[in-house]
Amino acid sequence: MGIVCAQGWSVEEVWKGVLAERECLAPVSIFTSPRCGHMPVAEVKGDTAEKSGLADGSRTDHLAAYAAGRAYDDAGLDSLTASKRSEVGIVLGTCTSGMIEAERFMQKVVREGLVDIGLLRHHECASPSNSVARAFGASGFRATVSDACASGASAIATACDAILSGEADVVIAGGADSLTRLTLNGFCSLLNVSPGGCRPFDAERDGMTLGEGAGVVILESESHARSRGARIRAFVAGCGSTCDAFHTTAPKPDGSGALGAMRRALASAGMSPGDIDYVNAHGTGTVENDAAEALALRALFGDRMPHVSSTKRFFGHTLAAAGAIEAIVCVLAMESGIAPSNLGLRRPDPKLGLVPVAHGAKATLKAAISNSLGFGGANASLVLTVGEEAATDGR
Amino acid sequence: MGAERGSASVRVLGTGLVLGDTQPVMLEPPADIALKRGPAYVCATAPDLRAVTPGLVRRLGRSQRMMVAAAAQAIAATALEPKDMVSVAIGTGLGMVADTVDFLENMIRLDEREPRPAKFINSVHNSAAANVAIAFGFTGENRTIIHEGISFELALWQAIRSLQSGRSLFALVGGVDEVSPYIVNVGREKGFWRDACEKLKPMTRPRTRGTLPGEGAGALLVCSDRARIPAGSWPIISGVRARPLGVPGARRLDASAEVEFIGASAASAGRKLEDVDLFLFGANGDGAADRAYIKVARALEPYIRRDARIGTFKGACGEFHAAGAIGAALAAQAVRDGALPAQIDVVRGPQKGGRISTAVVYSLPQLAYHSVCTVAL
Repeated sequence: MGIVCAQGWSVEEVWKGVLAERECLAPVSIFTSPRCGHMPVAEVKGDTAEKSGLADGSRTDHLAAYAAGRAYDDAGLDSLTASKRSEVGIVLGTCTSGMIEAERFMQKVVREGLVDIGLLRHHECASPSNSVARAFGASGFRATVSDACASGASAIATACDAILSGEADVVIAGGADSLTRLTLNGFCSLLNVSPGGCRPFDAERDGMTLGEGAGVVILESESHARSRGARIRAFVAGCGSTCDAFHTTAPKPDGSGALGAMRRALASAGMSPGDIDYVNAHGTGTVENDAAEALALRALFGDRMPHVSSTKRFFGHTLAAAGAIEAIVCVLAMESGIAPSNLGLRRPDPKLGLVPVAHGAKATLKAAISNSLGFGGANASLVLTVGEEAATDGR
Repeated sequence: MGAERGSASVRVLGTGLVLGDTQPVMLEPPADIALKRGPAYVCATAPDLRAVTPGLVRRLGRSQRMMVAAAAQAIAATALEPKDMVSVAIGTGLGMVADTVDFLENMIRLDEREPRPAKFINSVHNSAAANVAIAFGFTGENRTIIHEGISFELALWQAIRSLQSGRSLFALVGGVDEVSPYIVNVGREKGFWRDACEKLKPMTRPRTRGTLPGEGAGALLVCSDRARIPAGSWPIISGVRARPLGVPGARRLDASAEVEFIGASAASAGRKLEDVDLFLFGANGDGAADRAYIKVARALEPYIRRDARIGTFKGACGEFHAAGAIGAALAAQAVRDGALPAQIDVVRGPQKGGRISTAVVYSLPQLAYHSVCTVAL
C-alpha cells in the first residue's frame, strides 16, 4: 500500500497523523486564486516531481507514481520475474489529471495569446496510469477510471474485475488527483466549500474541504500472492456500485443509492451487515451528502451500527484518490485495532441519528466498508477484510 | 467475490449513432482567442433528444447531448427492467472539453468574479454516463473509462464484466468525444491533423500525413443470456480485448502477432478468420497509422476469404479517442442487417452484395494500443 497526501509521504506517517488527530488544513500555495485562495485545503507539501522520480509528468502523475512506488515496494513486486513484472496491470482513477498544467496553458492563451502545447503533454486522464506504467515497465492491462469522487474505489473494483477475468495476475490500483484552480473554484461556485474546514456529520457542518494526493494498492489473486510468498495485508472481499440516477451533483436524499452500493458490496463478499466492524464513510461534510449517507447507514445497520467515521478532514477530499486512500485507512484501522477519529466533529448532528467515532476507538476490526459517493450519483462501496493473523485485538 | 457465472459474450439489442456531417468543415475559434482555424468533422445538426424530458435537455452539455441521444436510439422501445440491473459504461477520451474550456476561460478572464457552476458540473468526466442514467432511470453500475484510444473498448469490456458476473442484466455501453477549436489547434501544433478540408479515405493514401479530428457518439444496448428479451436473432459480441502494444509504433509492429490477436477474438465467437465477412479497421487516414493497418491486412491475406471485406469507418466521423464506439455500433448494425452500412468504406473485397454475419472490429489507437472485438450472429 502506498499513500501520499497532506498528512505525509508514507503509510506510516499518514497513520501516525491520523492517530495523533493532526490538523493539516491551510490556504492553497501551489496556485493563486483571487476568490477562493483563502479557503483551507489539504495540500501535499514538498517537491512532488523530485519525490516521484519521474523525469516529467503532471503533478497528479507525480503523486500517482510516488504512491505506486511505495506500494510496489511494500508488496515486494521486485521479486517477480522480469516477464511477470512487465505483465503487471494498472487501473487508476483520476478526475483532474494534468488540469493544473492545463490551467497554465489556458492562462497563456487567454492572457498572452500564446499556445504553449508543452503544458498539455500530460493533460489526458490516462497520463497517471501511463506514467506509472513507464516507471515500472508494466505493459499489461491498463485502464483509467473517472467516476468523479468515486473514481478511486471504482478503480479498485475494475482492477478486481481484471484479476477475476484473467486479464492480469497483479494490478496496481488506486487513484490520484492534485489540487487545481478549476476544482477549487468549481466547488466554491456550488457553495460547497467550508470556510473553516469540513466537519463531517457535525450539527454545524457547512461544506467540504478539498485535498490532493494518491492512494495505491497492489491487488492480486490470493493464490498468486500465496504462490510468491507475499505478505497479504488485506482482502477486497466485495465491491458494489450503483447510480442514483437522480441529479448530476446532489445525492438522492433518501440515501438509496449509497445503501444499494453497500448492499451489493456485502452480497459480493458473501457477508451480512452484522459482519462489518467499521465503516469509513464518504462523509464530505456537506449538509446533503452526510444526511443521505447517514440514512443509508441507518437503513443498512439499524440499531447495530458499527464504528463509523469520516476521515475527510485529515486529508481533505482528494477526489479520485479518496476511495483508495480511505480503503488503505480501513486496512490500517483493522491492522492496528483502532477505528480512526471523525476529525472535526464537535457535536454530532442529532438529525442524522449517527454518532461517529469522536476519538480513535480501540476495537477488534475484522471487516470494514469504505464508501465513496460522487457527482453523477456514482456510489461505490468496498468491503475489506484482514485475515485472523492480521487483525489486532484493539481492546 | 465469487467466480464467473456467465459467458464473456453478450447480445446486442440495439445500437445508436450520432455522427458529424459527412464532410469536414473549417472550425473557427472565437474571435478573441489566439487559436488557428482548422478542418474537423462536426455534428452541426442537433441530436434527437425527444426521448428525454426538456428539463434535462436544457442542462446537457455537448457530449452529454450526443451520448444521451445515441443511448436513446440504442434503447428504442426495449423494456429494461429492473432498472437497478441496468448498468451504464461510457468511454470518453477527452471528456467534456467545451464546458471545461468555458469554465476555465471565464475563470481566467474575469479573475474568478463570476463563476459558472453549470459549466463546472458539466465538466466532470462522468457526466455523460450520469445523464444517461438520469434520462432513463438506470440505477445499476455506472462507470466512465477515460483511457485515450481504448476508452470505449475498455468500457465495453467493463460492461461485459458486469453482465458476466451477474451484477447487471443489461448494459448501455457508449463512447463519446467532442471536437473544439482547442482540439483542432493543439492537434495541429502536435502534427496530428492535416490542413486539407477533405473527407478522410483511410488506407488508400498511405503517404498522407495527419488525420482530421471528429466527434460523435456510439451506443450499444447489450444484455446477458439471463435477461428476458424478445425472441429474435441478435448479434453477439465476444472476444473484447484492449491493451497497450508491447512495443509501440508502426515500424516494429508484429503483424503476425496482430493476426493471432484478431484470430483469438474470432475464435471466442467460435469462428475462424476464414469465417469473418467484414474486418472493420480503425484506420484514420494518417499515413503512419495506415501503413500499420495495411501491414496487418497483408498478414491477414493468407487466412481470409477472397470475398471477405476490409473496411474503415473514420471517413464518416473523423478521429477521436472514443471512435471505437462508432465502429462497434456499425459492425453490430452490419451483422444485424446482414448488409454493409453506408458509413463504411470498403478497401478490400466487394463493395456490394454478400451477407455479413461475422465482423471483427480492430484498432491500433495512437499505435500505442490494440483492441479487437467480434460481432457475430
